[in-house]
Amino acid sequence: MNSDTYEVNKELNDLAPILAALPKKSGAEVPEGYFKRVEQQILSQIFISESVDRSESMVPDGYFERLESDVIDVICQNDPKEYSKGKMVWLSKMKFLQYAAAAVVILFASVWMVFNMNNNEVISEDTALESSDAYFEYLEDNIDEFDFNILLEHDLIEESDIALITYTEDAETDVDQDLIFESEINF
Amino acid sequence: MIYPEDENILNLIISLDKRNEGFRYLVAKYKEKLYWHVRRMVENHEDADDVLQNTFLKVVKNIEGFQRQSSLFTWLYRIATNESINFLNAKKNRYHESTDVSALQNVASYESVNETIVLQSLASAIKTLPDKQKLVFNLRYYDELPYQDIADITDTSVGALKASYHLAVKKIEEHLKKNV
Repeated sequence: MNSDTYEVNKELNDLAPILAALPKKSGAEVPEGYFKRVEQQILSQIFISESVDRSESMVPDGYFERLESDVIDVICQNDPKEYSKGKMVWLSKMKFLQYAAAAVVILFASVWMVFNMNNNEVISEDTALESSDAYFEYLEDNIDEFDFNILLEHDLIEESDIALITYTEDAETDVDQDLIFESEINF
Repeated sequence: MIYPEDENILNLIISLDKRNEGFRYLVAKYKEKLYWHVRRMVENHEDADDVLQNTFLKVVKNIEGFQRQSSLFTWLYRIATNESINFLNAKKNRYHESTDVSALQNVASYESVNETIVLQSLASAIKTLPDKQKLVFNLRYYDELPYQDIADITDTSVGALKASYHLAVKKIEEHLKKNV
């Protein structure tokens, strides 16, 4: 008799002598061989649930290798129109695009700076000209200093204007200079 | 049969290679104790069988989270008790309260007529107890558990348990005096 049993029985004797004298039988019965059978049943259920849990937590071989293409396939099948609207941009190429965009910006900035420098050389005082009359006057006085190629390149004059200017210079005629200036500044 | 200590059973279950061996020990060691605990609560064999199997499945499902703050034994009893209470509550919703017939039928097979009469009287006295008092009485009288273990299983203070058990015993004693 262990100490727990002794303590329980002693307490029971003190509290209820009639009850303490009774055999501790519930009187209930179990079918023959039940405990052996139920042990096997319980273990079978445990092992089944364990194997199900294990298989649910496993990832099939090559799953992650196939995942990318599988996802794209599913998107295409579900909504092919939506998929075809835009070009697929891979995340791995995004950095390259950033560098390319930065290079383009730098290139444009350089061209703009070079152009500005040239422009400043040609018409270095244009910012000082406040009215259109003063501007025309400036052009009239400095016509020989203009680089026609630059003006042409920037659509400031047309090719026919160059021919006209050249002709007037070569022929030294009395063509009204105002006509030339008007065509030159017709932008 | 001599079974390993609870601590060793737990270690087997947690290990990957001897997990099944651990479950075998666990079920073999506690199946009968838990069965009778459940049987005294649900009263008939078929119900006890269902609850016992559910109890072990719940134990297996939650054993990874067992913190070992209480003993494995009291943790198992606690799960079995909760499963039994849930079962009885569900059954109450399905059927009206059953009569005492099943309990008395279980007792009737004893050879000694006198003993049968006494046990019938005891069974009917126990059935008059409130559910919680009946649970405490069964754990102390039949399972002979220390109050501290019962406190762990039922989430009740030791003082309250002692009072509850003493009252239950007194009521049963009075019942037996009148009927035996």
